[in-house]
Amino acid sequence: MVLAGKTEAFEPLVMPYRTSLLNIAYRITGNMEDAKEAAQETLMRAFKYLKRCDRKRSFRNWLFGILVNEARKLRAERTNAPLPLETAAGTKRAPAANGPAPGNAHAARETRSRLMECLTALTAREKEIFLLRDIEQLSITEAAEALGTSSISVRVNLSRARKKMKEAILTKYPHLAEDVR
Amino acid sequence: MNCRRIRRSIPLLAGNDLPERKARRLRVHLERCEMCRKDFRRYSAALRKVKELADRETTSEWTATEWRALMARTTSARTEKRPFVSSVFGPRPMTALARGLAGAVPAVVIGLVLWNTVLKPKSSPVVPAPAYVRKPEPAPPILPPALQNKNDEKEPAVRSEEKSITVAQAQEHERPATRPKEPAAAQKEASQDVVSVTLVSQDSGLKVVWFLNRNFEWKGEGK
Repeated sequence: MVLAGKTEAFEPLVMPYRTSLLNIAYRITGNMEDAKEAAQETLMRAFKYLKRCDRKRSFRNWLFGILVNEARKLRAERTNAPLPLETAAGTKRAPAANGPAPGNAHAARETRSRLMECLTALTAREKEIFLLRDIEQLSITEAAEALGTSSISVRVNLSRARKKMKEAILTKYPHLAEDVR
Repeated sequence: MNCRRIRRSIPLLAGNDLPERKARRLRVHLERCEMCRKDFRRYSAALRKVKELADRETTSEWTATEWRALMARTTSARTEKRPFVSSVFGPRPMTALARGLAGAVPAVVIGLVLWNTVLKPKSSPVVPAPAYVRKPEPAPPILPPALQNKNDEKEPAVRSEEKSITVAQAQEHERPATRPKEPAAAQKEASQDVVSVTLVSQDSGLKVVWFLNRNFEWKGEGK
């Protein structure tokens, strides 16, 4: 319908995934602002390139594939971006006249969330696979399709990711894992 | 299966990501091995915890205003015009090309094999004659029987019985003739019972002549 020119049909198409998009993007990028930017960019690209979507493939996997790429791109940009001069020199930055943006403060609090702390133990690839398989509950085949990789690669990375997550939970939050021991 | 191999598969077993057959084998091992069982329990509990945390720590949602603005911005953008190649070959032209090649290559190979085995007219390979083999005499022209008889009268008794041949001629000799033989030609061929092969050593100049019958059986040698 969207391809036939009914642009308003796009919203019901992506509505079921709006929370998932934001969650995955947040867990990959590590802050809410970047997550929203990545999710926005994903939706815009999905609309623009909807004709390229293979109808034999799942739309959700295709959408998640775009999202992972966008979030990865954004994270790489942030990592490569030079630090502000004061931060790089180790001096305390003067607060802005109107104080820190509420979104930033919220993001900073969230970055310290337990799950995010554990996810830092994983490599980028392992994190993407772990999020898609164990948090978003995609099957191994679907995760492989979304990431454009093989099922074997997904299994290998998933196995490593689960091992690291188990160790992270046991060491960082032993009180969370009393029944784990 | 030993414990080391089992433990490599436990993370996948904990998330039900193993094929049923392998999972069954692993469970049989877990029933017997206390250490592996404990490891499996740890993985399962860790995964459960992670899922709990993920559910509890659900990140903030889009506000209604944000979502409406985003949808308005998204749908106001133009969709990509489908490129000509995609419209002809589908969304993945390179995949279509690869599929086409994958179909065409075996077809070409099968075609070549068929051509070589069934369709191509047979021709004997021409083996270059060694230098020491005498040059073949030009074959007599095929004439109608009447004229051929005249020629036979002129020429004395169908040349000599002893005749040197080239390797190519020898092969020709072995192969049955494709066209029906003229009676006179058949008679002539019947009279060529003995053939000779002359071997000359390039180093010493020694010359040996072998005599063979029409079945290429060795009959003797001369110098």
